[in-house]
Amino acid sequence: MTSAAIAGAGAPVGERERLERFRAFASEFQEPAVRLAWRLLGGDRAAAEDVAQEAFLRAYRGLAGFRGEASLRTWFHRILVREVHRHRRWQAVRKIWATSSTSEIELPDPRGRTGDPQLRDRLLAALGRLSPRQREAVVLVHLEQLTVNETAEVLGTAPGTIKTHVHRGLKALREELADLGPEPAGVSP
Amino acid sequence: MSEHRDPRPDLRRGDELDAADRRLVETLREELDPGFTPAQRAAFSQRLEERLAHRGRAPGQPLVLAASAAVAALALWLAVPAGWLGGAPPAPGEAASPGLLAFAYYETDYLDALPDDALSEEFEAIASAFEVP
Repeated sequence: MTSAAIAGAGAPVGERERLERFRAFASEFQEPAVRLAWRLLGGDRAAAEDVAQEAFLRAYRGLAGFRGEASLRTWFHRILVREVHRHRRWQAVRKIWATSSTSEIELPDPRGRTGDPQLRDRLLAALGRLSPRQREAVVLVHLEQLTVNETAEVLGTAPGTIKTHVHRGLKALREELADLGPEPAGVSP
Repeated sequence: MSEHRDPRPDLRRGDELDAADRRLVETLREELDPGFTPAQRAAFSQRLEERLAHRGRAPGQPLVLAASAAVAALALWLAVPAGWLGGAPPAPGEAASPGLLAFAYYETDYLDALPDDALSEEFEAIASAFEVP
């Protein structure tokens, strides 16, 4: 389905039809959306699902205003990344408040985890040590496989800046994960 | 979905990577995938359906939220420039004032309910002080 078809560009589209088209879009994108949010939020599944839900709702509300200048994928990624920012900001506020109370620390939800959890945690930690912009650039370009131009559009910055973030982010990851070697075998005991 | 993708090779991920970096990226891509069980997928869809049915509002959430958000937004819009909420945003590493924390609360939870992004963007600039390093 094309961007214009989902947004209903070109011909007047009723609310019901728009909803149907959006359902198809959401069904196709829900897994990539949760995965991207999960990667940007350090492996917190519950938060990733919340963020993806909010992004879909925002996208639905904004669909009528979508004019197709960007691809639907880029447009939706932009909404999703903004939701991630919002979540992180709110998390930071809660963290500051929590210092004066005895709130429990939230741990990432392990549901659905497979593979080597130690390796995964280590990779998430390494990713988490990058600056937010570096992390976003590395994830969008190398993990989500967006182009530099698409990533620049999503993050609202210049392609050159994205290239710098990706280069520095990858360099930092390479240094931190150097011992993984040619055949990543997980964390040494 | 067949989206238009930029075909220029220099803008594609991975093309500039040497073999070691490519392995690293592959490892990241494979390991950092939360996966989706059929039950999780169904639960996500159902939750989204319910929220779409309420046009973005949680089931049972009163419509009065939008009105109270507008009032809160207006009050904050007046209060922040006047310095009633604790003055300028904190510099990185500095503690935020309670007023700004309150503001961030409203910004994240209540202003988002407003259909007009103009006010939200106004506050977005200030709230960015809370960006996690």
